[in-house]
Amino acid sequence: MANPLKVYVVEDDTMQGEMVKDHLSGKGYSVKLYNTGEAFLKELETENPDILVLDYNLNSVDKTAMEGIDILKRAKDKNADLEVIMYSGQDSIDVAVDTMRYGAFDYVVKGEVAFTRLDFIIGKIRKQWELQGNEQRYRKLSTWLIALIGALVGAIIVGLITGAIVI
Amino acid sequence: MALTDLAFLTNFTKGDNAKMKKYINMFLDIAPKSVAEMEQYNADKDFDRLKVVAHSLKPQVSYMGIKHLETTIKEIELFAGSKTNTESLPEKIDYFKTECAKACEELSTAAAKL
Repeated sequence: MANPLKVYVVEDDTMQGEMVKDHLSGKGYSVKLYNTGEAFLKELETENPDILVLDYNLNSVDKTAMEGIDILKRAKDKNADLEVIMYSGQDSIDVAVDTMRYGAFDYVVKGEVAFTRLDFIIGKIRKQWELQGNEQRYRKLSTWLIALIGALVGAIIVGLITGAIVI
Repeated sequence: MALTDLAFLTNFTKGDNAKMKKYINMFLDIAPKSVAEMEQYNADKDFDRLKVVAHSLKPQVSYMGIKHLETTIKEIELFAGSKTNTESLPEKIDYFKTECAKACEELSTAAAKL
């Protein structure tokens, strides 16, 4: 079996974090839960997660903790390929736009439907990776074909010049 | 009439009693602390902190199916966040406290049966 997708979660609310972790583990992902963004950033120096589910309000418990948006910026600086799903209780377009401006893939509002939304968004991320993979394969194939045609044309020209090919 | 509805939690845990119990106990632990914090922040007129606490509690109230408190907790968050209608906050927090205590009793009984 292929390695499971590494989905890390940063959430300072114990119950909320546990629910997201349980839900994603149940989907077969390799899940790690951090209760501060700082702890996650430290781990990011040695770990290489695929997706991060990041709480927007990270100072409800520790009032001095860094906010989700700051963690998002730093995480993207460290690993631009990391896809970040912002997770918040605020159903606000402004907040959603703001997080996406800083590189979040999507935004989920906490609540009963949040878990289905998370599944849907992770599916979208995987689809995007698949398309990017196909694009890279096509690019490699077209480069190879151009090189082959170039070599053939070159060989024909050399053949014509040297008389090896007579029309 | 029941004050709580565990339909969401049953569905979320796929009927896993141990998990249901875990989440209910988490809520039973968090809710009284959060209510006490809301009272304190309101007394201190620290509406920003009050908003944060109400904001965190809001989805949990929904997960426990305490439908009749969803509007109250949303209003506490909204009024504290916008610093409007703050004179209505003591009454709303008090109502939330009383009703949440009743809901917690019901949840505690439900958890014991799982």
